[in-house]
Amino acid sequence: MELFFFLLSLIGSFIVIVIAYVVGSIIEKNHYDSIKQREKLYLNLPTVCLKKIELDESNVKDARLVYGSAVISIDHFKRFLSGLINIFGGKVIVYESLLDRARREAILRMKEMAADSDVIINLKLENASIGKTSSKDGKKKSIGCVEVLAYGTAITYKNEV
Amino acid sequence: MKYKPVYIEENVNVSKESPLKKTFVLLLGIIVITVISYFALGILADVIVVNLPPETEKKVGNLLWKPPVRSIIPKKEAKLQIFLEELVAELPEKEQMYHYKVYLIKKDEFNAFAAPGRNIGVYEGLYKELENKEEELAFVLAHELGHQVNKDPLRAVSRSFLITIVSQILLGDNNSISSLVSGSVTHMNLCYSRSVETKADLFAAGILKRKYGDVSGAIEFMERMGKKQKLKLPQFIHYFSTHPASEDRKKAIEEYSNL
Repeated sequence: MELFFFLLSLIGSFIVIVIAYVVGSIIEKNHYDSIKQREKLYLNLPTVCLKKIELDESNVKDARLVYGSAVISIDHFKRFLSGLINIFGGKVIVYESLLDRARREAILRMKEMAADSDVIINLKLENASIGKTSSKDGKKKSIGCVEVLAYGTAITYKNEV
Repeated sequence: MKYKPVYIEENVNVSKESPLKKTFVLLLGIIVITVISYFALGILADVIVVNLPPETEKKVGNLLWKPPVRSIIPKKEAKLQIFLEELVAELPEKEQMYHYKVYLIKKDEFNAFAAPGRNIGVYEGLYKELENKEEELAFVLAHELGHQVNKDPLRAVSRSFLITIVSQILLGDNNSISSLVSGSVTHMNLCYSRSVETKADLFAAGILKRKYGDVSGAIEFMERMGKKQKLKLPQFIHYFSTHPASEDRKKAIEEYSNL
């Protein structure tokens, strides 16, 4: 009898994973479309990791901190596949898109904050895990989500350089 | 330094591998490995168990199993023990050197079982109903004796022991995957136990034939079980149970007795 209920729960999990895959793929594709569209908009706002760039300090109108953050979560299908990959090792392909989206979204939001600036310098990125990351016996049962914070200094010139 | 705006279409940070394909490949790999190791470990467990000397078998058996709360009527248990000895006398020579003990357990369940250490448990529910049906009771005891002769209790223990250890080592504490594996192993165990039950049935039929000349006790018992089961379980549940359906068991015994 236990086996019967186990099989029922297995079928239930399978249905959840299939739904998660379908819905998750749609959400991811929409998000990527939005990201690509906005990246093209901000193409003319240079963002560099340099601490100093060649500029005439008397020409600087404004220099301020700008930052963008994004929190993205995985779906059940990704969690299942990452569990399988964890057994044999190798690239966890499902988490790659998660981090990529979060990173690009964070940078875009930072650029939105600095929309009227001329250049963003000293770009830095920070990652953080959100949700239950520590538990008594190391068994993580919760959905993992990651937060990416992108920050830098936005500089606005007085005159066109 | 001049800034030239260039849009990069190609996303270098995401692999082009299809996650669906990867899932199928990995799941298939795990299933194949599970099936192969189940059979390999099954063979290993059987080899270990079959080659144990009698004293070791008794010691290990008594370590693994202790009798639960017994019947409060020791006279009945003693009567059952004497009856068991009569059946033991029908066993092949080398099986008779073990000491078989039957425990009458105070529980109103219609069941009996074979436990490690050549111990047999009979529930009060079954004994009350079959107290005056000597041949049916003989079939039940002979069936459990069949398990003992085939060393089934120890085999089952060593199988599940080995499989649990190996799966813990290989899969670690990833819950969803190891429960998938243990579930499929449970199913394979059930198929194995059903074949083992049929063997015990036929063994018991042989004992009945030697002692009473026919297998009518076995047939009557199967009909009794069939009536009880019809009241409780729908047909498909038999797929998930440890014993084959009573109908099938009865047919097997009838075929065997006609040989």
